[in-house]
Amino acid sequence: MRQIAIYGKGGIGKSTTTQNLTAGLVEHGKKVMVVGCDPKADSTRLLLGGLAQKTVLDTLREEGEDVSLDHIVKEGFGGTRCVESGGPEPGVGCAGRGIITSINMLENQGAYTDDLDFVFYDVLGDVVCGGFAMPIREGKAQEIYIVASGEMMALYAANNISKGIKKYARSGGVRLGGIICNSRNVDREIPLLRAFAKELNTQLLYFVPRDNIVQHAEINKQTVIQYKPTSAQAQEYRNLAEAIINNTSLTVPTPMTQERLEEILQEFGLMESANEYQI
Amino acid sequence: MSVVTESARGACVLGGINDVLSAIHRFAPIYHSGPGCCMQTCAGEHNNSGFLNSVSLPSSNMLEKEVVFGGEKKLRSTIEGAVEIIDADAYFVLTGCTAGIIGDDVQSVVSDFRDKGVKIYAIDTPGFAGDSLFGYEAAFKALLDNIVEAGLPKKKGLVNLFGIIPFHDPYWFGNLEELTRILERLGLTVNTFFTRRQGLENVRTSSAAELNIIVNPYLLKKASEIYEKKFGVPSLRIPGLPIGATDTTIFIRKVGEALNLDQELIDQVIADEEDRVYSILERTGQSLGYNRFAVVGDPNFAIGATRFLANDYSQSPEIVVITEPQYRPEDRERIVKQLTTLEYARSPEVVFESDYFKITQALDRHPEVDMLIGSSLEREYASAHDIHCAVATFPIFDKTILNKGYAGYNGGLSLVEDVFNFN
Repeated sequence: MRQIAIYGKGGIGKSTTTQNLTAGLVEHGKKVMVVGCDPKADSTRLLLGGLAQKTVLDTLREEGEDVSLDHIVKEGFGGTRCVESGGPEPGVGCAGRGIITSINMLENQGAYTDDLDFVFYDVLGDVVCGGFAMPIREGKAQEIYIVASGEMMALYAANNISKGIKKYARSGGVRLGGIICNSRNVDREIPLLRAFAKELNTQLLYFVPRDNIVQHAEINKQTVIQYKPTSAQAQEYRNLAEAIINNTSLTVPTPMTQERLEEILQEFGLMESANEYQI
Repeated sequence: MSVVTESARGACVLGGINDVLSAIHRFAPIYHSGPGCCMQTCAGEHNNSGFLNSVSLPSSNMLEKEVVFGGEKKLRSTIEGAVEIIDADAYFVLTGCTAGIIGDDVQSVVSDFRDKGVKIYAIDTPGFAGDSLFGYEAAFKALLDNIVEAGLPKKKGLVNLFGIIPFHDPYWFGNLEELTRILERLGLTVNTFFTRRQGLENVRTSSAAELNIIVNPYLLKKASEIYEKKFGVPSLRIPGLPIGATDTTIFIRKVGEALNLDQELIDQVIADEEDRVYSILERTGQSLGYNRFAVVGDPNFAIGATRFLANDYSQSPEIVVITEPQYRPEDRERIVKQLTTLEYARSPEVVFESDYFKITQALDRHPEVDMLIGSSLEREYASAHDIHCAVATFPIFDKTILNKGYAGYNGGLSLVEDVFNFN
């Protein structure tokens, strides 16, 4: 079983990428579980065809600690197992602790069965506190992929997340598997991300081009592979799934200083091309 | 970087706040914290203070569920239960570390209850904010913010007597009683908040006092500023507990001067009290020996005891260890000055140290010491070095203390009895 955590800046498309990639893995005959680690509980919507699912923490709150797995694990597209950790209402309690609580609960209830090939943790935004690092602590996820784009803030976030990974790489076995680019059609996006990934001692694992079909599929509460199996974008996600299956490059990242990050941006990215857009 | 202190003397902020609230008649603390905080703060303070522990503490006992979803609901039900069961004049919600870290909005919960007419207030100072001394200050701040009333007419002869921390000074009750007795002989009325079943009314009307008398070399700096600015009550700081005739007479003269009291009355009270204590003390004659002594304790007691034993009783102070951390240089200077301006004796070495092991190292530098006045912790050092030991400072876990005190004229007599008790 490969346990994989997906991190990246808020709004970059982690959940969309994870679910579409999962659909690709399912087509390969893989058994996958997706654990949403975001209080918004929207990490499994496409696989389940809607947000109907009760979260682990909702169940815990309403029914106490004697919860059976049937209540919290729902079956989605192609037999994927879908779990949402959930969280407190906005502005109260501790969402980070909530992630810890629900992952512990999944373990205690035996959600991680031997027939699983992949477990994905879809973690919100940045590693803001210890709770959101839970999926990469204590021997849970061993592999991490960061979803990013050529936008500056996405790279800032990716660099920050790498600091968290580096910390836990020392104590546990967690490694960075690469950057997945969810393209925003930024100029020179591929060279920029290649340079960034190299500096981070990792690779640009895959470049997912931008295509509005993803949004159409989302509106229809489906992954692209379900919505338009013959589309070019569906093939992209199949290729991404293959890249993950075949990836053997797992490294300890070398996060860079703010200055170095800005140098790379100036060399490859937005800052230079910004001048070209001046009217 | 964190520093480990061996055998820290006291608890966290909650301990200090609980010291204050539990000493005020009909005030009820409510803990919004994990299940261990009530026990730990009582164990760390009350149980180390002469076995007095008469508090019942309601607590929200936050568990994992409250951490994840927020503890406000549990706090509400805890307050409802506490208000139903405990008949108090005022309730205070104390925030433990757990509630502080997850950021529960205690103020809004409390104000909902206040809207329904419950006298309840939040002290939003989580446990990790500091030690019990900081808690003592935080509790005073809460009283000043919520209970003390502004705009009251001044009441002639009313004074507030502060600076002696309930429980954290194991002899607080007796100390406040003796100083109250002396001030009453001067015709004054005394608010201590903590003795003679004083409660809400005394706290509320403390703004009508003519003077705050703060018997402590460093505490309540902020509170005294608020009393002065917001309520027009000036403060007189007595930098150390007055123990025995010399310092108690100075205490009376300072109070008399600050309040412009009748000189004849002052002279008469002093003459009367001094004659009484000296007539008792002279009965010891030459029977008590000469000692080189060390004191380990809070600055209030350490100053009082050192000055009394040196000035009034001709003993030699060799080393004084101040166990409460001092952060402001001016406070250190004030403490050192009180310990080194002695009438005849040579000045002792003054050490500021809270760590038990380092305290023993400091004592090791003075093998000439043959009498050690300290806490129950120092008893071990004294027996290992075959030194006579008197236990008089916090923590005290091997004596029962009810209303005995060391302050004032009578306190000096008690200190002689205890220091020269060789059983």
